[in-house]
Amino acid sequence: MESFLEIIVSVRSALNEHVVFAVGFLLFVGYFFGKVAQRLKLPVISGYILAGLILGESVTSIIDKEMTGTLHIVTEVALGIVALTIGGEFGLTKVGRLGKGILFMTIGEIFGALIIVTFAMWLFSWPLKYAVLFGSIAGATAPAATIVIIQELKARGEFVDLIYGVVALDDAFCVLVFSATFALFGVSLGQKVSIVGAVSGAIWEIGLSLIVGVIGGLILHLLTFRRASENEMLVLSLATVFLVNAVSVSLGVSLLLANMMTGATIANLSNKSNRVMQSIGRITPPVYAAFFIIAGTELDLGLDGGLTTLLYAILYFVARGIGEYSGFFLGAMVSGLSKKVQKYIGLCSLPQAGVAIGLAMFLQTSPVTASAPPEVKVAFTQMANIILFSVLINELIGPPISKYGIIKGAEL
Amino acid sequence: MQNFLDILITVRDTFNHHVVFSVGVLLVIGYFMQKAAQKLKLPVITGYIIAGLILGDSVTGIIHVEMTETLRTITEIALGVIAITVGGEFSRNKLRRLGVGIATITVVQLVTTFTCVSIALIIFEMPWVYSLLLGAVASATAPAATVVIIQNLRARGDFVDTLYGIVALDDAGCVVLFATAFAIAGSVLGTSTNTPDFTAMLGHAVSEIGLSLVVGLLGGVALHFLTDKKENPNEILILSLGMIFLITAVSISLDLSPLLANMMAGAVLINLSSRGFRALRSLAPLTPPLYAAFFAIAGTELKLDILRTSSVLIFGAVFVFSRAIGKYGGVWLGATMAHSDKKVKKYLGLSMFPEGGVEIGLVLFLQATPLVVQAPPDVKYAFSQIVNIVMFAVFINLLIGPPLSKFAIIKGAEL
Repeated sequence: MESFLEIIVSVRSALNEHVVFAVGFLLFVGYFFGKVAQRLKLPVISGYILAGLILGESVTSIIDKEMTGTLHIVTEVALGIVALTIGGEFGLTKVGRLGKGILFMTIGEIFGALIIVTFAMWLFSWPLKYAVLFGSIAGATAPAATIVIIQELKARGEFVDLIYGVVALDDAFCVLVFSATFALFGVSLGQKVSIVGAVSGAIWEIGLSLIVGVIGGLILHLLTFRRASENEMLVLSLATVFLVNAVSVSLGVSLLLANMMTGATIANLSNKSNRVMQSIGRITPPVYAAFFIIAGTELDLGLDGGLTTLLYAILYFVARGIGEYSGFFLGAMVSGLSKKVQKYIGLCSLPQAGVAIGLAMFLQTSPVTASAPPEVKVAFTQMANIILFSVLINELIGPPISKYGIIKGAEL
Repeated sequence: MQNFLDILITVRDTFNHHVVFSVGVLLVIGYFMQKAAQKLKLPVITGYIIAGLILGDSVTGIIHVEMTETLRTITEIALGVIAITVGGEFSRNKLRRLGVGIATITVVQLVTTFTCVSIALIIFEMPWVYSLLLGAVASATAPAATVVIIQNLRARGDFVDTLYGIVALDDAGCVVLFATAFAIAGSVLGTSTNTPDFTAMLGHAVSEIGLSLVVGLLGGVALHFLTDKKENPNEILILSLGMIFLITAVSISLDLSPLLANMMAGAVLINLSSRGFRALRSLAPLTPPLYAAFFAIAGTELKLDILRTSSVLIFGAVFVFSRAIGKYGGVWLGATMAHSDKKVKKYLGLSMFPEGGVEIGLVLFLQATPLVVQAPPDVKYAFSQIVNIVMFAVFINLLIGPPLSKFAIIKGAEL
């Protein structure tokens, strides 16, 4: 018995020493959970996330934190490909036709989440200045889950195009709203923070990521302009995603926006975008599988603050859901979209992940916080825990609801 | 001008700590070099290798040494995919038809190369112990370049199948040969405390091969049962890739040969059912960027500065030259003995030159053994020379080998 345990321990340490071992193992376990999820009519990715959660630090810690850090590279690549795919859907004609609806729904969704979450957190005894920050983070939605479910279902049509559009715009808008509210927060602490400066900083950041994306798109277009074989197309597309990712991360701008812009640039410059997407689509299954499993390992169950954190996380989750749904509903109604869109599109916006976590981490590390009184730091830590926990809830509950929404909305 | 250079260096240092950036640059520059190589009728992979050489530490330093270490993971995965593809060519029918020829040619060329290189080095006054070791290292052939060229050319037929077979068997044979040479060297160079026992060394080599095959067998059987009833190509891809990762990682963790293990898995898969090829075919979409990155990374590992030492140059040239004679002559002799096809006799030897990871692995292994670590300084120095000679040979063969392989395959497979 003793020696059996020893073997297990040594296998575990080999697993954590070797990236390939970890990924291979994750893919296998994830595969089986994905199968089970399929049986239960849940999205496959729910199975992947659950598998990751179980293998990760917070349950069995078969995959340790360090390995999770190493695997972050896979996450970035997967997000880059997701964003490129989204961008590739933005032909100008489509944007012209659906632009109004997309814009209204995005604004509706972001402010819906902002208002309802702020109100709910304030109602349950968070000071207003913190409640607003919660609200501004609530507007962020994670594109990956929704996009992968759309591809899994092979859904097409206006409903899907609208989702693509909102998911893309959401990222830019959320950064704007968040930086404005965070500047306000700084002012409320009596610090000399310029709101105009903060917002223009955010606009600069957005602009810079779009520039990186345009350049990436132009280069890819020029490289594939002349006839390139499918294999060359794949090599070049993947290389572009890698480069755009690395440049965005190094410059501290959004890799999601940059890659979306790359996709959009390609989509509008040539009729090649289909071939680019197709070539890259062939390699996505293992990349996406690994992505969601790794996302699962990053989820953190063991939280400080116990029950209070859990209750606040549930509150945040519910309020955000209501805010997102009603914002979508209003936006869709105002822009005269069909009943089906009004009713179901809000359901597809629940997943929240990387961007929200990034913003919560930013709260803890920004210079404003560093010079703030200690109680602010305590509050921020608690906020980060609440948001992390709500991400956990979202990752588990969001995808099945998205799947339901897409099936209903796209009439599958 | 100075300013401009400074800017370039700053840009380089801003981005090059990022793995994804390095791979992206390797792929883009590789793509251009590959286009140039195509124009010159050279193999595509030569373009990638040169791109890697240019980006690597010895020229521009855009991909620095530490990054090359990080990128080793990609190399491992690519080799795993290549090996399982090679294994997939070993169906029972083919083995029955070509098996005798493959075995004969492999053994004969191993022995011939070993003899040729050892004798040549002894003639050039290298101590015979080191000559034997280098001879054993010389007998290895890297499968990657040849396999990828075959796939790019879409070559088929007996010539190609024989080549696959030899490339695969060569790996196992080389391990035995090397272990023998190492045991002999040990009994000469060693003191009582660090002398490896001859039979133990040989037993160790055999058990290494055996265990690699067992790992591959288990992996192959498992993959067969997992994928045989599946229809969804995405699922098959995820499972196949996952299995290659596991086989590779287990082999490396247990100090076995990931090449042999993955080859075995491929062979098991193809022989257990007629649907086994689907698992191998599912990997095809991944291969273009994977192989491109693999060869570009191999290029970054080449070191130009070893070309500066004259002793390395001389011995290196002798090594490369005698190895080429040994490989070509050995294949010719083996093919004659086994009454193989004329084409095999005439051309196959030309595609046996590429060297790579296995050779470097063997010499690095030498340096890390207690025999060398506890040896007096002059022996240590000799071993560092050996490493450089092998590095030089890898360098030359990585550049010269692929074009020759391409020529041989085009002629041999009558394309």
